[in-house]
Amino acid sequence: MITDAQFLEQDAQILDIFKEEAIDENSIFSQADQVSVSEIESEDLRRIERIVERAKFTLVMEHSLSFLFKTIGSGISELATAAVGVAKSASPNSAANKQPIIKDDKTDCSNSR
Amino acid sequence: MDALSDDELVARCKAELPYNVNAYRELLRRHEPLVYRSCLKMLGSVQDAEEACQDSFLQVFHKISQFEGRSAFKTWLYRIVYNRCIETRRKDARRNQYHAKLKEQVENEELANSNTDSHNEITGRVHEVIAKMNGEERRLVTLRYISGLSIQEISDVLEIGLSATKMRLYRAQERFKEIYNDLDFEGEVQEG
Repeated sequence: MITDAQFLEQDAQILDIFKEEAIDENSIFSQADQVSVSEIESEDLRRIERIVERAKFTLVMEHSLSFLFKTIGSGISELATAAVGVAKSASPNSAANKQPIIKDDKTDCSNSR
Repeated sequence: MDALSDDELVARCKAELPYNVNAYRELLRRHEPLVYRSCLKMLGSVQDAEEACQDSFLQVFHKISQFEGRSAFKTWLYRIVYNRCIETRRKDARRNQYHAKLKEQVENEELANSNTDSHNEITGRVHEVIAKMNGEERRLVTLRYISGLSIQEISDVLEIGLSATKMRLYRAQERFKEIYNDLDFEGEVQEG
């Protein structure tokens, strides 16, 4: 188990090493939480713009895909309804195809004997 | 925009995205350079770092409406970045399990040979030491000494307790010192 004092001592040692050898203006050693405009290099700006463009693109793609799926979805649903309708009307058991049973009440059955 | 705090920018992003990206661009301008450099140190490859950094900020773009502000924006961001870097490592390992060791070696060499001057980055022995550390050690040292997160923030990013974070970081520090001293010794032998 390490004590807080041990940890902090070692932490300070490593920080010193970084301070001595690592000169990164954007890092902890600058004591600035935010990067100022002048510190941002053109390569950074290019990457930032690429990310913004890609974010917009993914959004457009998302909307387009969702629109496409909605359109395809409703198309398929309409086609399915139409197909069911056609199948029903083509079925021999369907009401449209059923021949009406004509009851001939006037048939004379008296001679059957 | 410069005068606004991260929290205020986040609030504006929530209100204005996706129609207005000015606040989002400002958040990028503040955090992207350091996030990119952290990814570079964690992953060791320029291509992987750019991809991880880009994916992390895209996730921010799409998920910022779900950010509840229970932690600082910076902590939330680094949690995304950290998880994305781990995911990249896992994918690499799965993709090429047999050559993982070789790849790490190549990446470490790439990291050691990458042009540091152009990015005003860490140079010299520190750079070499980080390149020689293993994945977790490298990530911890990066979060602490490159990204500049506090122990509490690292603990939040890793989603583990404060004492566990200290323990892991302490081990990473030990390893850092060990490699650093070895390099010192090698340097002296070569000079001698």
